[in-house]
Amino acid sequence: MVLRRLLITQLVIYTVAIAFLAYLGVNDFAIYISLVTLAYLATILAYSPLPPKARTAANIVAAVLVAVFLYFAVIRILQILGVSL
Amino acid sequence: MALLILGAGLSAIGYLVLDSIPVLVLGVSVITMGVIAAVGEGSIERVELELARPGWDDVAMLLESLGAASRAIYLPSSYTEFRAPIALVPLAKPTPPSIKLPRGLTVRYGSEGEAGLILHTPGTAAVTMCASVGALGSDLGASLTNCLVNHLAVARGVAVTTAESGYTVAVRGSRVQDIYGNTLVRSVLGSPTASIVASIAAESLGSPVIIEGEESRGGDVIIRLRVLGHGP
Repeated sequence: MVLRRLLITQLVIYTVAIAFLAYLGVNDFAIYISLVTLAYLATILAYSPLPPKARTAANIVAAVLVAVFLYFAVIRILQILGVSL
Repeated sequence: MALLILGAGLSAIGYLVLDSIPVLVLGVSVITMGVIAAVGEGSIERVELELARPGWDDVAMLLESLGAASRAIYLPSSYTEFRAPIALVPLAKPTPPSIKLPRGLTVRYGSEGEAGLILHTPGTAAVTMCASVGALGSDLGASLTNCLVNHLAVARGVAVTTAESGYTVAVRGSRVQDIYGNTLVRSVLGSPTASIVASIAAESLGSPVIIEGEESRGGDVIIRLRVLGHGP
């Protein structure tokens, strides 16, 4: 039951957030993935504790999303600092 | 799994066909949801099953300490004073009772003072649930299909054939979890699937039933039931 509620909440938040960004004309993958990561972490925390195996999967997905987010964040910071890649 | 496929499809369409970042990200989001759904599905049920297992371990120890190793006799509700289908584990001769069994754990029945244990099994719960919605009748095949497939949804199909001294029941795609492992309970009561089938058979036929044997064949569980004579 907790999983179902978590998934429904995530689906609603993702859809609203992505639709809103698309409406604003945002076309930057980094912004979308940052917002999705934020929504993901918030919903996982809100619905914790998850069942054991789901918790492991949620942690792995969180690590991947945060890694992708960090990649774009580092690129952006380096651009601001004027470091050419 | 459906969410994973949907997410992968959305991502592919967003990236390759529409060249749309919002659709691509929506696909990635659905994939993350699919991973959690696929891995977490049924995990709470598995935890609950593990939490309930000590009860069956206690039953196994009780059976071991009493030296009860013969197959249980599945009785319909008409054989008990408390109107519940039960499994009678005979401690000596496996004969069906000639009296209506009273409520309790141990019981004496028959003219020679036979004793046995009264156990409530998964079949007891299944019969109670199915009887409450009128899924049980006098036809064994229809009762098993109505109860296991249509009402409880714990199997994909049931086929019943008449054998010499009883019935052979093939349960296709059983989803009943193994609630008591490979303990003495299994050799006395049979597997949970067989136990449920035997209870429904006893209730449907109105006669005591014994599980003569069972085997797994592919995705099917083949259960051989022997119908005993009428009692009280």
